[in-house]
Amino acid sequence: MDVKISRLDPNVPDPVESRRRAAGRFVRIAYATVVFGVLGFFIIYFGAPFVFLSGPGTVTAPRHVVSLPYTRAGHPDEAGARRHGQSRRRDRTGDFTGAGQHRRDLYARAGGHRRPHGGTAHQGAGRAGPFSKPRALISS
Amino acid sequence: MLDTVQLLAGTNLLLLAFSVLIFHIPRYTLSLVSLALFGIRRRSDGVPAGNASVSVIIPTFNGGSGLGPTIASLHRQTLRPFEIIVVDDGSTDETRAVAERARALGLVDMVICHGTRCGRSAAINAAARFASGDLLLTVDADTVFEPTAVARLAAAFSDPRVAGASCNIAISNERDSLWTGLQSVEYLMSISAGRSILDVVEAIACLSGACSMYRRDVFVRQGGLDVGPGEDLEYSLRLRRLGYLIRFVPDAWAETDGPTGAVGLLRQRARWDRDALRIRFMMYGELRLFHRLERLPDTLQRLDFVIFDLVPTLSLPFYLVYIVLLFGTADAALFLAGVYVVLLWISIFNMALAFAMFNRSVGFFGLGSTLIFPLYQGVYLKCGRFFSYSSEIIFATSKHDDFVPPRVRRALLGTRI
Repeated sequence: MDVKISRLDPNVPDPVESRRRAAGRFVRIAYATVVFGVLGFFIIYFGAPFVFLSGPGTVTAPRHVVSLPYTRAGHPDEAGARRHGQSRRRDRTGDFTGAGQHRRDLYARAGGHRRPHGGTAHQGAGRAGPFSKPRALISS
Repeated sequence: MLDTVQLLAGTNLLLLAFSVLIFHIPRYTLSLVSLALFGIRRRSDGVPAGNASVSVIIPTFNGGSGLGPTIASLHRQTLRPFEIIVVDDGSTDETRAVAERARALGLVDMVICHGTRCGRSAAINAAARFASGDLLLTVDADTVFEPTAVARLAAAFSDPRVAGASCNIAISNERDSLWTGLQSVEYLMSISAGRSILDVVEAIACLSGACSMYRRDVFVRQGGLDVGPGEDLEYSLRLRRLGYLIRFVPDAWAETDGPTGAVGLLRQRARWDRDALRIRFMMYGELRLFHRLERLPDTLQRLDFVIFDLVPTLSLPFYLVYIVLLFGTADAALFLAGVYVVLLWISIFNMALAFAMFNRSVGFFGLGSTLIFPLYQGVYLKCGRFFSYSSEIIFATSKHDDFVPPRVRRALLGTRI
């Protein structure tokens, strides 16, 4: 078979050179930026609620500050009654009462030991994320 | 449900329309309604010129199990093929033995064996050099034809401007799994309905690799198929660019196997999508505004791809971000659920029309597929396509396509693979 092949017609792409073409560097970078931006948006938007950012926090402090027997020597009933009263009052005002609040009460009663030496106290671990809800107000 | 309806009713109509466009359904609604209302579907004449001689080329790589049914269906044709050539492209299974046995029985005229794998294009080009029929029919080794298919395909070549034609394809293993059932519906929509309307406006873009017919003198003169990936699409666009007509013959039916699993399906579609993007835009520059020598059908075929394929796919994630920001998470989910209900109704309408128009029976399995078809087409395939397009744009992944043998890729692309 003796047929003259005219594959290199100027109206059609070159069979080799056109195969080696790729999107330009600018297009690739710009497109990749946008695509990964969208991906990042979805990850943050839908992933944020699954990240626990507003827990009660952790307390690191000397034992005599956070341990109940050291806080009120004597009159445990009075302390218990006061706590009970505070809780009821907070229930009325809608304030937050929880473990963190209880520890804060303890700090208050310890008087001047709010920042004990060698220890730190945190109320609320971590930082608030862009989509986290505002925390409950804590009064002490 | 009521909340969904209220939300949809209060939505900007443009937003809703864009949702429907993005999730891919109305493309076929337009096609089907046009075909049904105006009856403008082209019908083949049925009886080709009596002297049409067809050389059948079956390239195969480890496809020996499908050879028998394919060859048998070719021998049942109303227009008997002039010759059948099997090309064993370096198979490592019993394919060569099957082909030789068929030749010994007189079912096959020629068997060409490649010692090592050279790729589908090289196999077809090699066989085309030895073929002597006026028309070449390239067939995958798992394709089975209806008895009149070859005759109807050959009839399309009575027009001297036609250089290629492809037949209507159905899925033969549609009951094997949910995925093949969905593909069956999809083929009915995208190939049977979609290409029928494109054929009317002469805007067919791709001659399917599974079963296409070419005019041999044009095929050989133009150098045959390119050896890179997406060779069928590239050759179809090349024919168009050279001024030839390519046709789709809806009455010529063939059946082929579809991937039975989700991953296999995604891999197949990823290859098709990457190749389509590369060939259309990077090779043929179809995003350019004007093309020299371009006719209206050429403009229509590239607009069809850009408007119904490229834009919805690439804008899908941005649209979802917009919806989430506009409605908030909960209402966005509600809105998308509402859109899905709308799409489902449109999809059921499409399918009812398509099943009626193409005389396809729908069973219980088909009805089940109908309910999740919008999810399959609008979300599953769309996300896969977005991933394929993005990987092609950013990383040029089609250069690593396993469909083309590594040594061919090295020679063609001149880079380390």
